[in-house]
Amino acid sequence: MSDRVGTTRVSLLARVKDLRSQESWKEFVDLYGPLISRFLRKLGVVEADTADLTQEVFAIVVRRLPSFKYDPAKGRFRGWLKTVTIRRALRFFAQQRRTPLSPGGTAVLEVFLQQPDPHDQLEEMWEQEWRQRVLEAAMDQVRRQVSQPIWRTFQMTVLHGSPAQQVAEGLGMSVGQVYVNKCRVLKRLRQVVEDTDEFGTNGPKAHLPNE
Amino acid sequence: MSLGRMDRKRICPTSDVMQRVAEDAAEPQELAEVVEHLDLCRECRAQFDHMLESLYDLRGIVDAGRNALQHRTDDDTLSARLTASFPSVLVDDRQALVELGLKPEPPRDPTYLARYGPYDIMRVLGAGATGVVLLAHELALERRVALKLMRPQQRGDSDARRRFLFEARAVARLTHPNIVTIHAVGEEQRMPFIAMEFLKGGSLADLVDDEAPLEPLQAAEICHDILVALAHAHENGIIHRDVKPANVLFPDRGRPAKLADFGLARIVSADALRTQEGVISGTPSYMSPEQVAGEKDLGIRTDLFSVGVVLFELLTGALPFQGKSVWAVMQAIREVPTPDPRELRPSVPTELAEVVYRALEKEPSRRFLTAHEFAQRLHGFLDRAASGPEETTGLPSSPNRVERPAALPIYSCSYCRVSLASALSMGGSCEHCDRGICFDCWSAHGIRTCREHAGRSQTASQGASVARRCPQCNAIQTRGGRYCGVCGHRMVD
Repeated sequence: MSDRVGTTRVSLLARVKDLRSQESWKEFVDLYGPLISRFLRKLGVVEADTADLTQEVFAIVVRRLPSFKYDPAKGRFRGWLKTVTIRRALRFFAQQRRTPLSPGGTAVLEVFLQQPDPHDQLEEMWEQEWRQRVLEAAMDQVRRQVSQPIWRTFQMTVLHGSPAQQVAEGLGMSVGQVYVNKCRVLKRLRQVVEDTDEFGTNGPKAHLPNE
Repeated sequence: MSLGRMDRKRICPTSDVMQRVAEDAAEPQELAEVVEHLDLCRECRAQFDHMLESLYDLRGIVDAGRNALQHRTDDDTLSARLTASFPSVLVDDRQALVELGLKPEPPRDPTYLARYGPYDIMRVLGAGATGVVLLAHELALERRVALKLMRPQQRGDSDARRRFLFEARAVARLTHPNIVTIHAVGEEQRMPFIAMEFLKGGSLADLVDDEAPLEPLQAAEICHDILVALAHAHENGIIHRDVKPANVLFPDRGRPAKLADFGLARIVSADALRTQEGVISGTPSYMSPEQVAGEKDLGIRTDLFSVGVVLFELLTGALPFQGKSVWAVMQAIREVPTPDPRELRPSVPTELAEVVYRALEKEPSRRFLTAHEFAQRLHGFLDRAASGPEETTGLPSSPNRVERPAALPIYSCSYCRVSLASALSMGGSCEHCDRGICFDCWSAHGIRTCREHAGRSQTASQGASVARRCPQCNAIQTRGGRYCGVCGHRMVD
């Protein structure tokens, strides 16, 4: 996972595009791979197909990378990735419906396709997945920036929901300290998420020239 | 003055102070006091918890944490797989040039990659089974060109290179608004190249990625453009052999579509496709059954089948013949009956579904006779769609459906009656009545009048005598002879 989620996302794209190194490719895959695959899994696509489809979406992205340009006036990478993934998923469903061989999962997509406008709902699902992915990436980053006891405090109180008193005893610190540690992590998390949002909505944007 | 332990407990911090602590912005002194106070004051702890709930998205954080945990194993497996498949497309541009066997000379403009003959190479646009396409700057004419170079294994001996140049020159003679113009054909550093018009609107493959399935109207318009281009090429004795979305380019987003890479498929041996299995560009999905069967003598209808596949894909977003491997796809093309596009997408108009069936007939003789006939069918559909969109698009009329702008006007040549994508395809107008005459009739056959006025002027009568038409397929004959150059039907003298 990248240490530079957020404002430097554009430069990650730029590096994938320009340097084309194995490392920046891994970074790129680590960031967007889980986003795409989880979205597909939520739709009920089975694991084998999820892997194939994710790879196909990456193939499309890669094919288009050479023509990427950064222009604040144009559309953004995030929205484009959403469109590409949703379209690929819908096409996959259309094919599945023709050959309903895949066991399980079909129920979810059948429900979707019966909605008056499946596209809006898919977009909302994608956005939700995006927000979670951003938060998760932020957690990854903050975990490495703070000391282990501080992170443990956050993990036990917030993520596992343990009472402050119990955590304080377990980690050998005062209850007050537990609170302060927890706040430190929360504050940083929010900061990182805000930076990321800035990229998504206001910051420098990546676009495709023919959009 | 120092306060006793009990005093500190009693004096609860103000909510301002608590907020500063919660936001990690408190002064050290303040912080120390609050830490100590929270240890002792249950009420303040409750209040503080409440404050955190309102300040931070705790619910979202917990969900994200769970989500990550739940998918961890699958994510790791997938990540390893994706990382391992580091795409070969992403090689360094300079390295790509070296792999091509180019000896890069320093470019004139230092921001460019290298110099190659009369061109400065800017970047790699794409790589396929047949070769690499580079964006280049033509020094003398100060213009952008798309430079196509053959892959080393495709170049072969001097005989292969000569054949390549011969084919490319034949294709370069095609001039049509729906065909990508070839600026130059040549050889540099013993490497044959084709310099083509650079179109910045991307390819139909990109459009399929982003937007398929398309509206029936748009799908028909694009295929109509392709067919008009093919009709012109067929009349000049050139079969494309590799019609697919990646070879259809746009000047800007949208029409007119232009067909590129004519006849180049012939130069590439079938082995290229086989060794390139898995590479995105090396797909047999658009090949005709006779092509898949390896027939040497392909007729013009192989192209019509490919357009049928493209139309099917544009309408439904899916390919008609699929398989897990190149071989499976090839087998499907030969053996699997054409699926009904309406099954994949009920809104596909019946009229277009019928056109698709006809184009995708396994037996060439059962397909459309010519690209021209195929184009006419689409033209008819577009015409009717323009007059009454509800009936022909097959979509249920719903009140919140945004009304489409009317289809672009369709022009037709007043001499040969061929339908044209736009006024741009006109070569000129009749000397007597201003009716349009297509580019073919105008430039290739010297026709200067409409059919009604034919024979009135000297130029026209000369032109008309040159332009013989096949009684079977109506194609203009570019050469003499007793049989039609397109369909082989006997000509009437």
